[in-house]
Order: sequence, then C-alpha cells, then structure tokens
Amino acid sequence: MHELTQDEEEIRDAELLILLILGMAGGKISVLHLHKIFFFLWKFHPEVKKLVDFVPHLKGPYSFDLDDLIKNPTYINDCWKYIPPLNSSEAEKVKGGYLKITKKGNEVYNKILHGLTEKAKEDEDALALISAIELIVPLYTRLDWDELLFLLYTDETNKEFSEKSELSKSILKNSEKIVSKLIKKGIIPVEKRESLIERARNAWWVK
Amino acid sequence: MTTNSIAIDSSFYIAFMSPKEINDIEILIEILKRYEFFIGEIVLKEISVKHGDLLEKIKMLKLIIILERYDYSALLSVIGDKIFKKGEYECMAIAYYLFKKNKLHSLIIDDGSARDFVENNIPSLNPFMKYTLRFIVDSHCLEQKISRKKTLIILDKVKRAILDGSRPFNLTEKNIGVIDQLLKEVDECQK
Repeated sequence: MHELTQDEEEIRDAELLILLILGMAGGKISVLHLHKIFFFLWKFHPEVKKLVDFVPHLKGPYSFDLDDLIKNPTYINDCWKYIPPLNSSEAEKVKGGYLKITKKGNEVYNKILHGLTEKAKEDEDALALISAIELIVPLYTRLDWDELLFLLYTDETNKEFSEKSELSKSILKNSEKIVSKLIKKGIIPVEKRESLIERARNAWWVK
Repeated sequence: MTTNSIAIDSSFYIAFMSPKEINDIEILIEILKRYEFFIGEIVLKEISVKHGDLLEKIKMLKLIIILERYDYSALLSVIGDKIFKKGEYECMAIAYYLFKKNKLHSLIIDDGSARDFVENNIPSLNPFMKYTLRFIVDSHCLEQKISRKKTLIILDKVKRAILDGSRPFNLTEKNIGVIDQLLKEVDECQK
C-alpha cells in the first residue's frame, strides 16, 4: 500500500472519527446526530477543523464532505452500515437515516479507542479529542432530533450556521413542548425553563 | 501524578478584584500560586471586560494557564449559552479534560442550576465539584495551602459584602449561616 498523501490521511482520519463517535454512541446513531456532534468537535479542535468543511444549510451546520464519507467511506471499510430513513415521517426524514456499527467496526473501534487513549498519555491533541468525545457523545445522543436542533438553532454562538435552516420555524413552534422534554431528561434545570423559552424567542437569526 | 488543577469560572476572579466584594488582590495571587488554575477564552474575556486593567497590573496571566488551542466553549455552548452564566459550561468541559488527564483537583461552581447540570449529565465530575468557600476552607483545613489568617479574612470579607448587598459567589443574606458555620470550622480545624 502506498504512503498516504496529506489529503488521503485527512479523509482516513475523518472516517476514524466517524467510527469513534459511532462506537461511543453505542453502535447506532442517526446521521443528524453524527453530523452535529462532528460539528461541535470541528469547532473545538483545530486538527478536526482540517478534516472537513461545515457550511450553513437546511438543517443547520452541514458538511458535504462528511455526508459523502458516511455513505462512501474510502479507508475504513465495512465498519458501519448506512440504514436509510425507516419511514416517510418528518422525524425520520430529518434524522437522515442511521449508521450501525458492524462486527468488524466494533473490533476496529476498540482498537482505535485503545490506541487513542494510549496516545493521549503523551499527546495533548489526542487527550483533548478523546475527552471531548467522551463528554459530548453520551450527552447529545440522549437528545431527540428536535431537542438537539432546538438547542443548536437557539444558541447564538452558532447563529451563522443556523440562518439557512428550513426547519427552525417548526422547531420553534414547539418550544414549550421541547423545553419540557429537556427538563424531564435533566438537561435543563426546571428553574431555567423561562430562560430557555426566552432564548428561543430572541433567536432572530432563525425566524 | 499531582492533582493540583482547578477549573473555575470568572466569578471567582471577579469577586477578589471587585471593590464591592472581597477586593483583595494579594490573597488572590497567593491562591493562584498554590494551584494550577486553568481557564478558557470565554472566562478570560469575562474577567478582562470587568477588570482588564487589573489583569495587566498584577500580571495574572502569568499565574494561570490559558487553554487557547481548543475552544472548550464549543462543546457545551448549545446548552450553556444564555442559560447558565457564561463561562460555566466552558469550565465544565475544561474540568472533564483535566479529569481525563488525572490532574483535576476541583471543579468549582456556585450556581445551583449549573451544579444540577453536572450532577445529571457529567457524573464523573461530581466528586470534584465544590462551592468556592468550601474549596477555600478545605484548602486551609485539609491542605494547609492557605493560611488561617487569610482564610478568615476571605470569609469575613464575603460576609461583609453580602451584608452590604453584594452577591459574591452567588451568596445572599440567607447564606450567612453557612459562612458562620465555615468560620467555626476554620476556628476548630487546626487546633
């Protein structure tokens, strides 16, 4: 096998990161959740930023590169299976299908997780990445698609990526219901209910 | 491996710098020298906005570790922005990184909602989470890192600030009993 060029290495690393997120999520994740978690890591880590581009799109921050890698991986083959939306409901359409880890994917995931954890003992970039993945994947995969999009669209720090969203109206219309679900899950404390609803009211960039 | 690293939000630094709160830069510097204080860009910005001149004057940036390479605020901002005090979600993410590094000493949070969030969603940080005054009292009583005299000065100044209508570390008059209890603890711990 030839030595990888820098571009090829970046593609491989992006595919490894997809597998890491998928594995940390328990082996199944919606394409929507994967995209948004990758986006947070992309904003967080300068090395992740080199791997793909994100642009404002119809569901908020979106990466065409990532979408392609999810469906047609080049280097990390047979590690996950793409499952199309299960039916024609709005939720399934928005979630964009799922990734399911394969047996081989599980083995590779365990291997790269171990490798990255070992590397993290001496390498700050690896430590920052693995700690961020461990922190946010269990948290955001607990959220339903509408909860995740609600939080993302109403967060001012991501407003430039949410401006083109075509889902924002229907999401914001259900603010009270979504906030109640977030409180029930312990994501938002009950005393912050009004602050969060107010945040949604003030999210002029998605109206 | 030393676990000497602290993640704390801007209200700690601001309380020591504000004339209406503790207003004691010398003690702040002494505490900063005893531990490794980590901060991110958001917290640094919050302190700079309120006390940029003092930051320069006391050369505080040499006493703390600023994490500039990674944007820790990006990880939890969708939950934190405008819901918790700004900076707290950044602290939580930094604390998790320090925890993974086996260096976390304390994640110091005074806001009740932010503490609930940690308890519900980042349980591995629970054993490290402290209120500011608990951290200071433990630093004296358990670690002998802050002198008895300075610990008493801090508690006394916090109490006075509250009675004058300020809210250092999110405390109000109904918390005066807690401060009295801490004063008693300090009085007894080194006997």
